[in-house]
Amino acid sequence: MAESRDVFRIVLRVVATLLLVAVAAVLAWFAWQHYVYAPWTRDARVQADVVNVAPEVSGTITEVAVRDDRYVEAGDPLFRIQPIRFENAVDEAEAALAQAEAQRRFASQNASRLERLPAGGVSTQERQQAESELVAANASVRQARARLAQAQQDLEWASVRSPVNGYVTHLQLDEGDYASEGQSVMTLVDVDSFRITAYFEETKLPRIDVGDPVRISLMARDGPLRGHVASIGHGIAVANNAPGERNLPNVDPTFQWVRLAQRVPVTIDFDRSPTDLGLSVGLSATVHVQPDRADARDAAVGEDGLIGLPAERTAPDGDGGATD
Amino acid sequence: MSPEQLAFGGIYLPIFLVFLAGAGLIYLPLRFLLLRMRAYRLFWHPALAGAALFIIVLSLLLLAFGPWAGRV
Repeated sequence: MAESRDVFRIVLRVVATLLLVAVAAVLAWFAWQHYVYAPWTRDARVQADVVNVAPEVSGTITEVAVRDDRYVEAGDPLFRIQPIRFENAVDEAEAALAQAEAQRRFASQNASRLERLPAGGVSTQERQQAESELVAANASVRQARARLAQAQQDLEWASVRSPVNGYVTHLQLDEGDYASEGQSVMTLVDVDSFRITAYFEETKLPRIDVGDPVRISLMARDGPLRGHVASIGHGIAVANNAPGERNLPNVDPTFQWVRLAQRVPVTIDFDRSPTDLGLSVGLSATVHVQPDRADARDAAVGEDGLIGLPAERTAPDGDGGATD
Repeated sequence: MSPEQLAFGGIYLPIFLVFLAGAGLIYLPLRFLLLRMRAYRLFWHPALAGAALFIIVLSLLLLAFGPWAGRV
């Protein structure tokens, strides 16, 4: 009797222990799944369009109108190139135009004079020559006008203006520098293009869709910002594609026993323009895609309003519909 | 401290460390209590039961307050 009770107690203790271990394993599995597959990453950076400003004309810089890190609006003057050469070119083009017009006037008068002479009083050859000279004079006037317009355009281009709203960055330009046509001399960060590029492991991509809401935490700033997935990158470099001998692919003969998930850039747009946050390109951010919150978005946008979403996303789906 | 990371003297560590420390803070008094109550006698393998208990505490904390928990 006592022995059977002892055996029963031992079995009970073993069962209780194994039960506890089983519960721990299940909970740990769920926590691990969330930690590994939940679509969030600490590896995200602030990005923006960076405009390299180059002058359309060459010349010595006489005035730099901006200071480093200053905000400029589209159309604000950035710097001026010595305009004397371009002013002289305009003068010259105006003179050439006046000359061409004078020649045309004479050609025109000459042609009409020959027109009025009685037939036989002037040879056909002379009449044709006068007509041809008039046409040539008209062409010369158009040419001179085009040259004048280009000279005026060059003079205008001597004052370089900002093409975007943005910040002057890493200004290395000084008065007296020589700027060459087409050579970048100034860098602007376009504030209207600020966005986040997040590098997500491929294991997390199935849970990310274009349009999903995103919570963004900047390392530089307290409090979360809101955004949404704008696009998912469609290509990263594959080392095996590197061309080798005779342009054949240089395939690595070893295959790693330990495989690492590749990471793909995902672009995230801010919901609200972040111009007042003083962002810098390259800042670190942590992003957390929240597909659960996409239901509210779907309801707001409608059945077919989103481009690039899988069909099942726009259909009313059963799972995850009531999690919020 | 953002929900995803822990700043420690300019070193930014994964928030997982905070959960580890939190689980330890909950587990140690719990263990003390169970020892006082001699509750470990109920288990066949006390060390295994203790480890399972720690993992349960840690997993519950992660599931309840993890960075994915959907807060704004």
